[in-house]
Amino acid sequence: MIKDITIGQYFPGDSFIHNLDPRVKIVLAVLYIAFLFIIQSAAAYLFAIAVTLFLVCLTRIPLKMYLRGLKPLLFILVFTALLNVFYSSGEPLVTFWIFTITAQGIKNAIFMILRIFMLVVSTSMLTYTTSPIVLTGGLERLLSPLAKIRLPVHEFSMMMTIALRFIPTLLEETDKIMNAQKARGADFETGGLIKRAKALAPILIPLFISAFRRADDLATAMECRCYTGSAEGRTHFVEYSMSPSDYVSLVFMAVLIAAAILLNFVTVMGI
Amino acid sequence: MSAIIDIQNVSFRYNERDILKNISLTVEAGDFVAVLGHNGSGKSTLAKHLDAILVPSEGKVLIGGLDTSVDSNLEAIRRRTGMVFQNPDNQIIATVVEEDVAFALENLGVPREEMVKRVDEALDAVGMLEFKKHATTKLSGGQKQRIAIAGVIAMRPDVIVFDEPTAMLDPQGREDVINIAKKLNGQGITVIYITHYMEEAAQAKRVVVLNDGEILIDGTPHYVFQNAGLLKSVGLDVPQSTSLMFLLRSRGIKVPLAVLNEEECVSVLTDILHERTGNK
Amino acid sequence: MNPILKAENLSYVYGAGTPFEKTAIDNINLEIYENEFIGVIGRTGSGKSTLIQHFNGILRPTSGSLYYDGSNCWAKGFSRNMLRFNVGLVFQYPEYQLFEETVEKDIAFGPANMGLSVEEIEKRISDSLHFVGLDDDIRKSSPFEISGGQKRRVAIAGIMAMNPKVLILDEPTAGLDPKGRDDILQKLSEYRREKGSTVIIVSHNMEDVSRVCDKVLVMHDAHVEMFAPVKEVFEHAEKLCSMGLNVPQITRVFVSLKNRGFNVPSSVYTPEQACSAIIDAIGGDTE
Repeated sequence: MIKDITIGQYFPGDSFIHNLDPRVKIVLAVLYIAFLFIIQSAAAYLFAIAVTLFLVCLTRIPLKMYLRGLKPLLFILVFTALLNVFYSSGEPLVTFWIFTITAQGIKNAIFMILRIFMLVVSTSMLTYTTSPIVLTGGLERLLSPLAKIRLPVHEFSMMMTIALRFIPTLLEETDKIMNAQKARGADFETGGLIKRAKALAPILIPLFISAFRRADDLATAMECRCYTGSAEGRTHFVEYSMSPSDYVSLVFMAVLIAAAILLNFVTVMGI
Repeated sequence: MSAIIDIQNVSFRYNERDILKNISLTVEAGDFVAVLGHNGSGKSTLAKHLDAILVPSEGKVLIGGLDTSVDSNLEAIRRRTGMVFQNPDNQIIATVVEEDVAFALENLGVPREEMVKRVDEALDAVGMLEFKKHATTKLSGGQKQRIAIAGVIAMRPDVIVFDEPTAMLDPQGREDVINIAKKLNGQGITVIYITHYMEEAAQAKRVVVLNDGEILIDGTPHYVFQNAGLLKSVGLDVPQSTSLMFLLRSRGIKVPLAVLNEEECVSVLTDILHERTGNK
Repeated sequence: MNPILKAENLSYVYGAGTPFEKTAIDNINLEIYENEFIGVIGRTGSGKSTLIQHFNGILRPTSGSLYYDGSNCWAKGFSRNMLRFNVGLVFQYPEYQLFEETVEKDIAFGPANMGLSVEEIEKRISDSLHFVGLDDDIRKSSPFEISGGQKRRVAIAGIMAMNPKVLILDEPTAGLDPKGRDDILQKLSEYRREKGSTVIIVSHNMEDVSRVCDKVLVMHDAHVEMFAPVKEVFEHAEKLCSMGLNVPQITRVFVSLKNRGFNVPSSVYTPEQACSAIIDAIGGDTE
């Protein structure tokens, strides 16, 4: 169950999008989000959906995987959609009791759902096609100018790297400890809040102890491999160089945004 | 030949307990020294002194003539000495194999072209080149340990200290690790190999047995394992082949005691069987 | 006599429906009886750990059934908690699950979950400490301040204190020195003799298994390859070697001797047996 968490999951691959420079990919993701906020008209939405589905195809990761990321948001999605349906101004279509449904409301709700859907897909696309280490590396390089104003960019990136490296290990360990305590008759599923909170001690205490032991071991191993904690004099194994496909992608994104602005003025079927 | 490791009257105290008691030991360049001892005998503490993770409470440790207690020697010592630890999970820093192997080189500021070359060489040396783009968490324990070794080899150290590298591995992983250690030793790297497995220690050139922070016995594997009684008295054992020789002796059959491995044992038994059965 | 545990066409698939789908155990059929001492061996990934996690109901079979003392463990109304108390499972490196302030409190965790009385729990703590060979003065110590070997024993005692009919241990000797290994194995033998329980150990170490177990279960590629008394299994020493299992050094020696044409048994796995075999071989033909 714990292993089902998909945040930050990476699907190795060799697609066009997989192979983009991570710095470019981060910039593109930010621009794409901007693009999703620019679109207003139905024509622009249709266009955006076509583009999003096209990009999904490009990653060669099944759409199903993207939809999984929506599951935890389902409740919020439905809730806000309903709010939109009932609380928009405009010509009333149906009225009963205190509720009024307007055409504007339905439109808003649909647009909002589509927008959230595309937001989730595009951010998932970044993490699905970029290994966490490459992602943090890209982020470190993008943010490196900030080191000049004494922001701890290197430290931050090292922390991210280690966190990403140890999340799967600790999740696995949590599973193991839970099973070991279950074997001793521990019960995590029944009882009131206090009982359940108490039931966590047999998991959390060993987990913390293990995490500290691992941290201690890792620090020693890093020291033995000549890590001193400072970025000074360090070189980087992963090197980023922009390839033609990176430039093409940036141009493509510029065209997208321009198209979105233009399409906002086009009306389809009166919407 | 010069001593690459020189441990002079080292004592180490922790929480008012004497973990190491006045240990002196020198290791020549190119040697392969197995260190045996029961849990808590001070083996790992000794290992940590060789890379200046711990410094002696008394006495001195010199690595290639450099004193480990002098701060300015730290980088030079750690560049010359690589450590491989017990838990493969806790010494891998990166999520991609080749990036983990490059970690030490990044820290040392090795230029990128050189780094790429050395990472490939190191991965090739441990037979993991085809895995270079793989995620480290998806590997088996034995494979992780080989990656850790590659990360050390990439520094091109003179000495590699293995601190119970096989304790958490399956038999296949264990065999891979000891074979890599032997291969590296064959290329001139000095190896210090701490283990609980007698069959691994039997493959070293020299065996040092620690007991309660002191050196109990030190010599070639053939010499050390002849002292089966002494080893058993400190919670250790001898390889099965050696045990068999002791048993045959006790039954009045003349056999050499210094038999450590399968091949030696087969050849001794073949001789007896030929001689006594008149077979040929 | 009825088997205490019985697996019928037991299969388990990890990550069904994902690209990482893997059949960990495939159509396993076996019966385990009271008071047996069984060693489970196999390479990493052969399905050993998956199999034993079915025995106490931690994993639910994808298909097939598991019976405890004649009742189907996944039938309606079957108490899985009862199963966990009766089939004690000690995981690999069990010392990492210790969490209480004192050794005695930690050992009491299982028995307390069973709802036993204070007096009974008290008795279980003393008994289990005795079974793992620890003195009573360790009871008030913190489980984090004792030696590694002692931690391992305390963790094992925590399962023994539940008085399981079947005690399963995954790699109980991993990481211990030779004396530590011998001690634990000996304690398990004593426990089984005095309690009449079934004991199952999972191990990579065939020497351990051959020393204490009476039956060996060999897992290979998600299947049961052999399940027979130790001696019979070692008669297939060459096959074990070819499966990539780590057979004892002395067994390899005798396989070599046999291949050289000597009339010696190949089912030898201890130095003592080896010694008798050699004496037999030379005694028979001389004079």
